[in-house]
Amino acid sequence: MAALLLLALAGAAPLRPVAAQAAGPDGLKAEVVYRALMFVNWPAEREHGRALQLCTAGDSGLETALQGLAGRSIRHLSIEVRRLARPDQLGGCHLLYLSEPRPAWRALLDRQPVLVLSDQAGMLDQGAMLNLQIEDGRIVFDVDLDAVRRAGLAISAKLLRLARYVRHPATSP
Amino acid sequence: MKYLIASAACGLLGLLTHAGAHAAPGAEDEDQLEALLRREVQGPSRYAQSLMDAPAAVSVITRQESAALGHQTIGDMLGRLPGVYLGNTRSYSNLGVRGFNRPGDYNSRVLMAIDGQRVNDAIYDQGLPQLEFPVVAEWAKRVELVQGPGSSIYGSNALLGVVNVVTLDGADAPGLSVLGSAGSRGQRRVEMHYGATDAAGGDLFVGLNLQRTAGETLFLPELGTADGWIRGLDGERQAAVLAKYRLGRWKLSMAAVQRDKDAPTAPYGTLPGVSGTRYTDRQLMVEAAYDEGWQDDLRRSLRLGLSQYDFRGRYVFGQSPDVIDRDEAYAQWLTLDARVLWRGLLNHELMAGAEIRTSPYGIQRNYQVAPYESRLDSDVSQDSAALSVQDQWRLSQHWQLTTGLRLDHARGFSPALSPRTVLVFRPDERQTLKLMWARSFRSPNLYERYYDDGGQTQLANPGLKPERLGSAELAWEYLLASGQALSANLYDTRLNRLIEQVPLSDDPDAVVQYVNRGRVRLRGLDLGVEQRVEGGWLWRASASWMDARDEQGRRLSNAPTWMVKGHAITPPWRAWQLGVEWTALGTRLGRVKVPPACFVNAQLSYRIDARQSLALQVDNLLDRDNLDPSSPDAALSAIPQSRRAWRLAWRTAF
Repeated sequence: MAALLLLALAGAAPLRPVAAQAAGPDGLKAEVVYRALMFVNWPAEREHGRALQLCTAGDSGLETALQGLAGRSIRHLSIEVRRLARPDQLGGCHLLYLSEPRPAWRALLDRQPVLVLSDQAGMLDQGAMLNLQIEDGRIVFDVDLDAVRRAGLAISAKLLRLARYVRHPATSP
Repeated sequence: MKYLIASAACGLLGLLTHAGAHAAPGAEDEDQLEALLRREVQGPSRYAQSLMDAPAAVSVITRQESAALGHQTIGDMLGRLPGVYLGNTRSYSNLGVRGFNRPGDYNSRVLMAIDGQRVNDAIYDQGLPQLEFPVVAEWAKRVELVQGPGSSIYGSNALLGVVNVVTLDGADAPGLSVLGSAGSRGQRRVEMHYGATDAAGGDLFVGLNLQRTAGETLFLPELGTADGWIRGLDGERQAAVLAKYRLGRWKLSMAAVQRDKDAPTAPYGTLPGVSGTRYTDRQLMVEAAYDEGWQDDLRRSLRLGLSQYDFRGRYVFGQSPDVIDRDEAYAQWLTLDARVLWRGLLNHELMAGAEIRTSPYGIQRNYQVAPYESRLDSDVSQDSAALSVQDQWRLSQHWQLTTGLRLDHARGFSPALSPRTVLVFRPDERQTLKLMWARSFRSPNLYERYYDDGGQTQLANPGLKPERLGSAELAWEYLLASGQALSANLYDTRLNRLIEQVPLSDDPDAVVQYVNRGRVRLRGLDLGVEQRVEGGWLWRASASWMDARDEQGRRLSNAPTWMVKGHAITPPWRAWQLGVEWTALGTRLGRVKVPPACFVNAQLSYRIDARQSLALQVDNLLDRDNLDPSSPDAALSAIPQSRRAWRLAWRTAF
């Protein structure tokens, strides 16, 4: 009976076996970052140019994956990726990726319109505004909304809805 | 709390207006981001941290491990998880967790599910792990054991744990794969599965399993046959099929099984050493499910399931003239389950659910065939309805609080309330700590309430009340930088109004009756270590301490106080791979005290080419003579477990 069913089902529809889709965690994270940036707005004067600068500090898999976003566009802005060696090279950056806590960089970032990105646990306490994590085999992200607002950036409510955790005035300790 | 909601709402409103001033991203961007967030991350970190945030302590075994260990059944897979011990009465298999495995029980206190659909039937609550189960190991993507009570989501039966078998999609196992195996004791098996996806996005998986064994020749002098040997009475045959098709928001699935088992142990006073005493169980489960996915802040899903279960028991009490008794049981039940998830409030995910279950037939019959004499002819319908709510609240980057409540009302019983609360603490990426408290229940089943063979072996007890269970648990998991995960699970579980089979006199052949009898306390600790990084050796080991006692402080029967187990799988070497698993557990009480049991199983596999492989599988490699405490229906004081058996399996893919 079951063999018949199998044959009937296989014969009835144009079915073809395909391999399961696979994606490495860092490639997927970079793609999430790219899509999430669609929902972020910088102050008007920072969106006048043609480039959106993604700056990275520290070695990690995600840093390499972010390089792959160069040349893609967000609205009218074209993405450029820059690797920083020192905090004084921050000028012009729209986004800064920190792979680990960096107190020296944090001081310079204060009230700058720079979105700070990380993918390490607990990094919202170390200045990250958007922190990607893996939960239950999928990418999730936390947002520090207070920090985003202090930096003069705007994040769409649509993005917040997809966040795992949003730190905002009512939830801050 | 009110302040929180208000300020969150204000915050969102403010943001909406703020965002509106700029070029707003379209719905398409949102869909694309959501699709990315739904995708599974592949690679070494995929499984490593996967369940550290889940609002429950979950033990998992995947297809990859079970394939390398040569598993055939879901029970083989479950047996690798901490705190689980399997047994066999040679009529049915059984499953013990937390030192709880009542002899003669049909696993009514662990909820068994296939892709979330309940397996436990509407007469015995039976959900057994071996060949009684409608799904075999090759069709399971993974088996999850959710430790502790789960009634706040699943309702009745989810007392000690919930086992969910996640089956393969067509995309997970594309093409046709066929396994043929043969071995000692007349073991023969054919398993095949086929997976495919179509251009429209449809996904098909079909599996078929056919197997049989002649069983063992057993030396059981207690049964009083002429030379003490029982020959040719341990046969088992099984046929199972699984088919599922998913297209967009819809999923249709069907699982069915038939299992026949000869009874060698002369149960219920049947003639020993005589063929014809046997059991047949059939189960069919069909489900149509609809899941809208997230639409803005809302996700709605609906499942409609139809199941039926059929049992036939044949008992030979006399020969020339033949005296044959038969048991028949048949039930059909329909379940409608609707769920709504809502994420409109920042950091919360709320779930509300409703479930209606109706079982128009619940037939139990017992009769003597010739001359015909009916002793039991009972048909009882059952209906129940339930409402549930759950809030998953992300308190901070590190803390998460999940609170749930379910109200069940089954006709004829007072409403049952099942609350559950879990606090999850993630101090860092490598560590998780979960504190859980929950209450659960189980309604007495039709067998316990109404089975009555005219007072020959059992009396009915329609007045039984539901069992209640309360549990507090603490689970800890730590992921070492080198890729091993350490885990500890501590529990204190109290079961009230336990329903047990009680003999009504001191006579060894006394008539029994199920009664609500006293309290049981289960305390214990499971410790585990597991290699989580793929690519090299795969191994895990666990040690469990269990203390299962009744209200007088006496140890429960069939409850070991300790158990250690583990397995190791070598990396493929040239075309070879070896998988070895072992289990040892302490003495158990029963009609007689059963000594510590120990067994080792192994599989050596050889990859012939990209499409074909051969495997030699040996169960109970050391040929240990293990015993299980006896069930009340058996004439034996202890049940001998399977001795060494081997089989050779050939698999080919097309």
